[in-house]
Amino acid sequence: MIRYVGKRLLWMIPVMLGIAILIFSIMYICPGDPAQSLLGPSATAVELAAKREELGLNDPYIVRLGRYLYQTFIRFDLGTSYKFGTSVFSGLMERMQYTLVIALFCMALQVFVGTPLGIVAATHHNGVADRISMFLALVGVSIPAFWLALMLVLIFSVNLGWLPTSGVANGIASFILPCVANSFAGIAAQARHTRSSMLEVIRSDYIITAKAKGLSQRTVLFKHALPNALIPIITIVGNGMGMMLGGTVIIENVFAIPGVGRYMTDAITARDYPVVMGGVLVLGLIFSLIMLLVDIIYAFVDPRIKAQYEGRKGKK
Amino acid sequence: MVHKNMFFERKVSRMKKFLSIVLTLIMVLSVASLAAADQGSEVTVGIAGDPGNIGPFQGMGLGRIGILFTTYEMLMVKDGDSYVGCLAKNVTPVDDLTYDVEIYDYIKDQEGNPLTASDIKFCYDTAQASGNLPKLAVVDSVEVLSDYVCRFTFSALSAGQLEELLMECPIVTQAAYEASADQMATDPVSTSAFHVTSYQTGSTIVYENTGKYWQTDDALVPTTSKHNVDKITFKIIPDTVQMVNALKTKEIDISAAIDSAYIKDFMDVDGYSVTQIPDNVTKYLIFNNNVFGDINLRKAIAYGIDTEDIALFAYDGVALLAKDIGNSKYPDYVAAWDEEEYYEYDADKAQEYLTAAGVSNPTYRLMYNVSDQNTAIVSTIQSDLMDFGINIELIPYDNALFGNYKYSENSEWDLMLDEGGSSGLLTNVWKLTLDRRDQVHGKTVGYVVDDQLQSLLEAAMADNSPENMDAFHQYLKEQCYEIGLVAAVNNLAHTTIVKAAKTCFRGQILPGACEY
Repeated sequence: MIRYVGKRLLWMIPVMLGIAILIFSIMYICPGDPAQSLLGPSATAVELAAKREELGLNDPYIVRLGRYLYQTFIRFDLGTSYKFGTSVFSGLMERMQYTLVIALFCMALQVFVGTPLGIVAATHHNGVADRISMFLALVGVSIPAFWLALMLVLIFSVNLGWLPTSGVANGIASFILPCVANSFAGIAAQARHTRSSMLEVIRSDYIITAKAKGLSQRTVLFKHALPNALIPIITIVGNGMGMMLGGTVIIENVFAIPGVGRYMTDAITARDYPVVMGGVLVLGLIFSLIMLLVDIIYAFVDPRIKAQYEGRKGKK
Repeated sequence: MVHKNMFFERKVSRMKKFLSIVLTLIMVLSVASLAAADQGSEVTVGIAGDPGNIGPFQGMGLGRIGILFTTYEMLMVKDGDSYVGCLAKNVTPVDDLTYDVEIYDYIKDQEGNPLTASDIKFCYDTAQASGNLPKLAVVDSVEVLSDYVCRFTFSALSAGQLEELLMECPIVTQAAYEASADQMATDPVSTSAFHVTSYQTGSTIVYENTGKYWQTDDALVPTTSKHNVDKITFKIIPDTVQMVNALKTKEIDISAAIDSAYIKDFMDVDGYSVTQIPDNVTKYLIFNNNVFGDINLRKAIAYGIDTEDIALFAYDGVALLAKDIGNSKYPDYVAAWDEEEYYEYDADKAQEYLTAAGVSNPTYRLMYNVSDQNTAIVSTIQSDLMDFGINIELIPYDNALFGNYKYSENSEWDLMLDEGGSSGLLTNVWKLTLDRRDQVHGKTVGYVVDDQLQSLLEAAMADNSPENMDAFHQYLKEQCYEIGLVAAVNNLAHTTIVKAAKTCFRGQILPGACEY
């Protein structure tokens, strides 16, 4: 198992290199002049040229790419923001706490609300509970997060005055509306996937056998059905975490949360290349680690997969 | 009976004494509270942008202009319509390009470091080296003459430019700057009355009045340096609707970033006041001379656009119709222009010029920097010109891309909706798009090469007398290379905590100067 994890970690090096080269190339061909964004409309051609030279933007693609890869992978330095003049790494770390808080809370909501909804729907297949659950799931998938966010603000902040409209100054209260708005689609997706996965399992022979043995519905459901339906659910949770990290961009902008998403969107607008590239790289790393974690959890949930991992070791 | 009366009288007398003491106390407290009425304890200001780095030598941006005067002081500042000394006590000309600047000899920063002429030199040198303040490129040198006097030498100066340059660079002491671990990015030490006590990037910046502001003579404190409040919190809210919601729930007390569409939510509403101040930014239309070489075609477009429609649809009717590509906020704007005719909508004239140009059903690309207001403006233009058979293809770009194509050598556009403003003079606004010397291709932004236009512009920049200003204005109007459309109004809404709102020349709130 350790060998497998080590191997996966080693595989992440070329993955990160690939991400770095890809995002660098995208930013390279992306039109827009960072010098113009920095100096504004009053800058003359000479001043702009001097700024471009200072930022190293006049160098050929290969030189700039080499410099970027050396700086990132040899010196472990994500560079300095053009716009803010501060370290990209510290900027990302400063903002990561908010993004992670939102993503983790959303994830928790997705798992602890979406999964039971899906189980209820599956166990009451074609019944009233199933239809209500699936209707809610359909609504959840269909509503855009930004619209839901504004509606929640109107109801709970402007009209009822229970929660703050934006910012992070009010502690946990500041995160309630953003998390609810951001997780709504995730809850819906989780419910639908759990339902279909559970439906597949509860029609299996071994579940019918368990029922025939006279086991209680609860035991059949939680001891026999759910563990076998978990693999696709875990996959959805892992992918969902990545989507949550990316999806916070909209929510962070609406709720004025100073997270990584807002840092990156501001950077894209200002053509602040180091921030965009650093942000993508760090999010890519986090996503890769989550995927690794998902694979490890597979092994603990499904003994067949664990045997596969260990079997590889035995073969070698 | 006598005893009873005496006892009663004593009681009444005690009661009177007690009442008189209570009344006296109430009077004293009332007077004290009245005396303190102008001094607010705390105010929260909503701003749309995050400065990201509060260091003194950063480039100007949406977030930075909102906090600039609360954070830093400069040698001079613009107070109302005139420039006044802030740190500078005297500015003495030596010759046309050399000036001696004397600063007050008792200035101290928030850490108690005395500010001297060498700090001024340090700040200008560092700001120039950063390359973030391009206006300072004309400062040739800053030389220290004595502890409190330094000599500025410039490579070139146009009318009014000296004051702008002395207002461009925030001043800090070298000792404090070098002691800072992050070049004051998060914890600046300046000469301002307010010190940053907390900065949560992208969320809030909190300032507290240090209570030891260096300038003790109130008459010498400019509006930008006033300190009528103990604590200022800037809350960063980029979303327009959320800014409105924050003001409605009173999470913020004041904002200058309320969209025209929402300002009515606060007008004549209990607990709120609205102040509308003309902005220094004017929207204008630039013709690409490669396409619009024929003056008749330019004039056809100019007369075919109804600026009143634009004001109505893009600004809910709250905008000033432009009579130039700048507006009356500038001291060198000639008031008489407001009374003269300036391409007011005239369908007959538009048709007449179009016929003279000999084009039928043309299609032009209109490039603009995408925003809600700009989209409303270009849609109105598109709709107006459709009546004359002129098709307008809208080309929206984000800020960076718009900047790129605006100055590119290859024309990517036929018409361009642009905007311009300046902290100083109207000539600076003209210069942005019409001074050929600043462009790589040696033409104006609209690809015009007109020697008379250039010489009139240079004359106005050298001496912004009403005659020179009018000469350029009339020529530009006649040639119709660019036409002014509308000048927006800054919508400033606040709760009743703020009794009178004050803004700087850029329309940004000066929370320290507001009355509470």
